[in-house]
Amino acid sequence: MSKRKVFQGNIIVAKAAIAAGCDFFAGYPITPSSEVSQHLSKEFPKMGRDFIQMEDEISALGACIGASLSGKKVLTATSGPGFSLMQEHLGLAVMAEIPLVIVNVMRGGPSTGIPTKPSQADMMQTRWGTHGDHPIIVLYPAFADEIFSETVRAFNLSEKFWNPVILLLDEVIAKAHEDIEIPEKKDINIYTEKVNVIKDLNIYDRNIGENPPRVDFFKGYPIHIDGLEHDSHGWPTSDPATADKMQHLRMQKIYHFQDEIIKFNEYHMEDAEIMVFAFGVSARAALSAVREARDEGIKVGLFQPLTIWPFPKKALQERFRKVKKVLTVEMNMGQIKYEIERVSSDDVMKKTLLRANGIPFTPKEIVNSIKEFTK
Amino acid sequence: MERYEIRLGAVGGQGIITAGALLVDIAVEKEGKHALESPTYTATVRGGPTKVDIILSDEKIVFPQASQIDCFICTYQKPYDLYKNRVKDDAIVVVDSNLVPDLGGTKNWKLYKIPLIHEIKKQLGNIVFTSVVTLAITQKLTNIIDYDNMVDFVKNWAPKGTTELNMKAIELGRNLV
Amino acid sequence: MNKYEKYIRYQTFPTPWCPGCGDGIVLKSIAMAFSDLNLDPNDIIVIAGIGCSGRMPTFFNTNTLHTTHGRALTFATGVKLSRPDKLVVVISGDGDALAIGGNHLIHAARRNIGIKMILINNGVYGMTGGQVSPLTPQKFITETTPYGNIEPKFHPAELMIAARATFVARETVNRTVQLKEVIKKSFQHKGFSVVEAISNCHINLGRKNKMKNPVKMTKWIAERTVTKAQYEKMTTEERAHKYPVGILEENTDRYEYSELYHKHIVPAAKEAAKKNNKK
Repeated sequence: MSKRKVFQGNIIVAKAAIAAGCDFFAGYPITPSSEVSQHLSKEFPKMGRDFIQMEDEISALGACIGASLSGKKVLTATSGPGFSLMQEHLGLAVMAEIPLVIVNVMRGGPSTGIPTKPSQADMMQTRWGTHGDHPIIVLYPAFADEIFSETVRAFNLSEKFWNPVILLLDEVIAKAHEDIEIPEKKDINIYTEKVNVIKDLNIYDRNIGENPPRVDFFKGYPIHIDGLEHDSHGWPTSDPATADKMQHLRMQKIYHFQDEIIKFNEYHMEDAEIMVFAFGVSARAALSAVREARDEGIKVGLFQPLTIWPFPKKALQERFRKVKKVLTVEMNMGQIKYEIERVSSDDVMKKTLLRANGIPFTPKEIVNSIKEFTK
Repeated sequence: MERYEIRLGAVGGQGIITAGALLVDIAVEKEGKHALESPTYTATVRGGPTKVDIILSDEKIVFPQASQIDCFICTYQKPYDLYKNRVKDDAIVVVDSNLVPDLGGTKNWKLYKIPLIHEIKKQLGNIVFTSVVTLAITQKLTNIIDYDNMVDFVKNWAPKGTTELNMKAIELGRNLV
Repeated sequence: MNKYEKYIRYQTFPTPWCPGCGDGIVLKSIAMAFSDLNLDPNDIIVIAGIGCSGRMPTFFNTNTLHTTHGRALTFATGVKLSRPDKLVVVISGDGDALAIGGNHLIHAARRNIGIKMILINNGVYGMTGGQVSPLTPQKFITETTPYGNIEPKFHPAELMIAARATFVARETVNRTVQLKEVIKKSFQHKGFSVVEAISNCHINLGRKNKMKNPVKMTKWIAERTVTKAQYEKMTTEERAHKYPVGILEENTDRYEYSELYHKHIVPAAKEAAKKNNKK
């Protein structure tokens, strides 16, 4: 008997959230992510954890923030239209430095788009969706086991860096039922920031680059949390020097620790002359394609980022010292290709495979593109 | 076993999603295979054309979509027209002889035309058994899962009081092809 | 130091409010209600959205959260469900609560989640400089209705009753003792409560409508309000442009949402899980 079992991608997210210690979910139904909330509505009450369906996605994220500040580990799940509505509160969570996890099972856009078809077109919205400069962490699993591990990692990173983390998923993977060996409790690494008794209002006080401590309401000292720019006490301010310091505190906590945050997989890159850069379902098609092309003697490898933001700039620049051809495959009209252009010099040849009609690239299409690129 | 792709096509409510789920559960839990199953959903589930794609392999499944279908079982005309496009030239194909009257676009298939739904209604009295009958047909024609494993699993899975009828459903499936 | 002052965070003063603004009266009334009930500041959270009223939490020496425009109730819902034992107070203005936040307001009321809402009704967007709000009276001149407001206003207390709020009251900043008492009563209510506090914005609404000082404006408020008992005796004609003050709705039969969740859903789910495990 195998230890593996078949679960839907969305259910794996829910199971991983439970394992990570998530104890509050607020959401609003939307295809193709609804199974996450359905599963948790059933499981959370059994464990005394909180579940609520709100009146829209704006309120869902609002409730998550309120719960996070009350000491809960929180999750919401949505798709493009709901994620657009969440941008306002995503900004507040970044500004007030509140840990939370948002799952965005992408669908075709803009607007209502194609609800039941996959897309990878929210890449830039996850980076720049809310107004103002802001740090963000975005993870993007492709295989069933990665869905589990990256969901757990999303909670850990949000706790550690006091920042929202977005988990992107492809519709085809979230909706597919796939075999997975759910790790045992002892093998799951969970980071939980201990909230000490708060002794004064100076809650945001730290040096640039320092990992913030988590503060919560009802911990002995009545604190203030604000969506306005604030000083180290959390009190509103428009003082330029303070604003400057706070902006840098927020940005640097992510960039200072990016080596810890950035994760990626490499396949067949040892002697590769061509590198395919792809994520999610495109990475799975690309891996098949790379193996097929290798069978025909083409030296090609795959770079699959698990962390999209911050972008794996350093790792890619190292690869570009040897690999002089990069093929970017993404299910959109061209978004991450600009990042590839940004991190590579002119002597790296770039090619793209782009499509945004709801149909994932097949391995065959990618093989053909690789072959053309050898010429 | 190398990658093997199965597609079940029907109209909503005929039970193929259950058939697909049973097939992957048996393959994974009983036989340690890797499996991936993608059913259609929401607006397309009740009454509309519906399909479920199943990929089975001894290796971890890389590309999650069916593109070279080895076995196609279809019980209605509309899904036949819509979903036969990725079926391989030498595939095993089973169609309901009453409900798929127009077999346009046939390739070099091993084709079975059987009065599937009619026989289920007649012999089992309820089309909810289509799922187990379809499972048994798939098992017999592809041998992708072991017969004993299938019987064991279905016995365990069957809701109280339906075990005997589900066993009959397996027999019916095997007799039909 | 007065007893209620322990709930005031003087370090964050001065307030951004104009001289004579009714917001100060509401601030003090809430602090006095806390004091009367002898609450631990750490067991209270005050949450607000955006606007003049939105700045109020900063001045309470309790847990405080300043959120987005119109959506304080959504954050409060998360807090209340997580910590049903805490007193969760939301302060909102009329634009905040009834325009941008209208949907959240009716749903919080419908759920009967134990949030204590203080809705300060000054009939205008004050902080942005005096634009028309959903509670600006008809014909009034504002920055965005230079020829007079043609839109009818909401009756917020009645709207809340229709949305199934279980505690609804209306008071004015003129009646400070009653205002404090009704806030205190709302804090003791288990379900969702809303206290509409009619207030004066003589700077951004009064000035353009022949009521440029707080005295004129509060007098106007007084003329338009009658006690609930008086209101009930009035004829339909007499009731035009009059608003009853006092407790307008008090229903203690319905369960509070987080109590319902934790005391009914959670045990039911655990019971179902046990049964499943036995199978």
